[in-house]
Amino acid sequence: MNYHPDIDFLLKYSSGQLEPALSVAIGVHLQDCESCREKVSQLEDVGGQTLESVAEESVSDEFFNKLLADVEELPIEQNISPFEECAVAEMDRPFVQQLSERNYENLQWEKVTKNISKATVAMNDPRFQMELLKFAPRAKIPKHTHSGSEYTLVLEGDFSDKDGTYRTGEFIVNDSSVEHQPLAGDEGCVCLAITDAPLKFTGTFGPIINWWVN
Amino acid sequence: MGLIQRQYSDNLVYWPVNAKQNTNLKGKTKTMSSESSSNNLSLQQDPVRWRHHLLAVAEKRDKNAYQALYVHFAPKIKSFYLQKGLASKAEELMHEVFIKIWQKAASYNPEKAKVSTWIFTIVRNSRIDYLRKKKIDEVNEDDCAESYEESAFEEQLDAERTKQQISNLFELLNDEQRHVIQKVYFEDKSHQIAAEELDMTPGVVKSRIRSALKILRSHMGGTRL
Repeated sequence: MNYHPDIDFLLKYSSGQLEPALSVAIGVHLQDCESCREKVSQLEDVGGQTLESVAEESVSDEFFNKLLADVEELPIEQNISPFEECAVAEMDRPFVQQLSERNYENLQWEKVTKNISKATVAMNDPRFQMELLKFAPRAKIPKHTHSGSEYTLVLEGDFSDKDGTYRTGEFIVNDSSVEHQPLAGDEGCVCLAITDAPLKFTGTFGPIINWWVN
Repeated sequence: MGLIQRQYSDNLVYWPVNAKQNTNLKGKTKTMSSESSSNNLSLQQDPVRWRHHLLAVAEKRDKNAYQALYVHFAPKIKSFYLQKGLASKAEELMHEVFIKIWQKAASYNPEKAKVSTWIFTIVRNSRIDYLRKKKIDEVNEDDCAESYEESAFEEQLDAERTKQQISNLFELLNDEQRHVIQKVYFEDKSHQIAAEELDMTPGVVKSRIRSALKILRSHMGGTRL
C-alpha cells in the first residue's frame, strides 16, 4: 500500500478530533492497513500518557457508591466487536464495519452516467458529504476539479490518474488545485468519496453532469 | 520505555508521567480519600498494578480492584473532560466511562496496550459519542482544521520519505514539539491557549506544530499525493 492518511489525520483521529465523515474513512483504512494501525496505537499511547499527566479533580465518594450500585446489575460483556476500538461514534460504527466488509446492500445506487453509479450516504456531518462511487472497468471519470478538498478511499479495484495508480485500501487527498481525469482499472473500482464541497466537472459534458450530480 | 526518563526543562510536566511528576501533582490536588490510594502511593504509577486490577475486574468482577482503578483514574478523567470544555457533562461522562470499563474489561488485551491507553480510548470514544449525538461542533474545530491542513499541504512535498523503524514515533520529537502536539491535539486547546500555557507566542506554537508534523511525516513511509 502506497497512499496512507497523513500523520495530521492520524493524530486527529487518535485524539478524537476528526470530523465524523473522515473518521469513518480512516476507520476503514485502518482495517486494511497494519502500519497505520500500529501508528494509531502509538498515538493512543500518547493519549494515555496525557490522561495520566493531567492535574486531578476531586471526586466524591458518593459517586463511586452510585457507580457500584449501577454496575451491580450489569454483566461483563464477553463478545466485544473489534470495531468498538475505532475512534468513531457508536452510531457510525456499523457503517465502518459494513464498508470494511465491502457490503453495499442497503445503499441506494443511482446511475450518473452509463459507467458510473453513486450512492449518497447520509452521515449528518455538516462539513462533508459522503458518497460511494462505482466505476465500470476502464471507465473514464469526467475531468473535474474540487472547490474544496476531496478525500478518497479505494474500496475495491483501482483507478489511476497522471500522478499514479491507487489501489484497494489506499487513501488519497486532492485539493482544489488538482484538475484530474482518473481512469478506472480493468476490474472497475468502488470508492468512498468525501468532499467538503460538491465536485465541479470541467470537461465537455461538465454542465450536464454537474446538473445530474447536484 | 525510554521515554520515561526525559528531562523537564521547566515546570511543564505534560510529557510522560513518572513518579516524580506524580508526587508534584499529589502535593497540589485533592484526591478522594480512600485506603487503597493512601496505602499504595508508591505503587500508583506501576502499570503492572493497573493491569492486575483490570484483569481482576474482568475475571472475578473484583470490586476492590475496580475501586482502585476508580480512585486513580476518575479524578484524571474528570479533569480531562473539564479541560476539554465539557464542564457540565464531565461527571456524567466519567460515570459512563467507568460503566464501560466494567462491561468491557474482558476485551482488554495487556499485550496490545497499557491500561491507561485502553482507558484513554474509552474516554475519547465517550466524548466522540457525546459530541456526535449533540451535534456540537467544537469551538476550535474550524480553526484547527484549516491551519493544520494548510501547513500539511505546504510541508508534504518537502518531507523526506525515510522508512526508518523506530519504537515510537514521538521519540523523534523534542520536548517542546511534544508539548505542543499534546496540548493542541490531545488536550484540544486552541493555539492561543496552548501558547499561553507553554509561555510561547501563537506563532511559535504554529511553527512547532509544523516542524513536528514534518518530522513525523518523514517517518510515515509510503507516499502521498
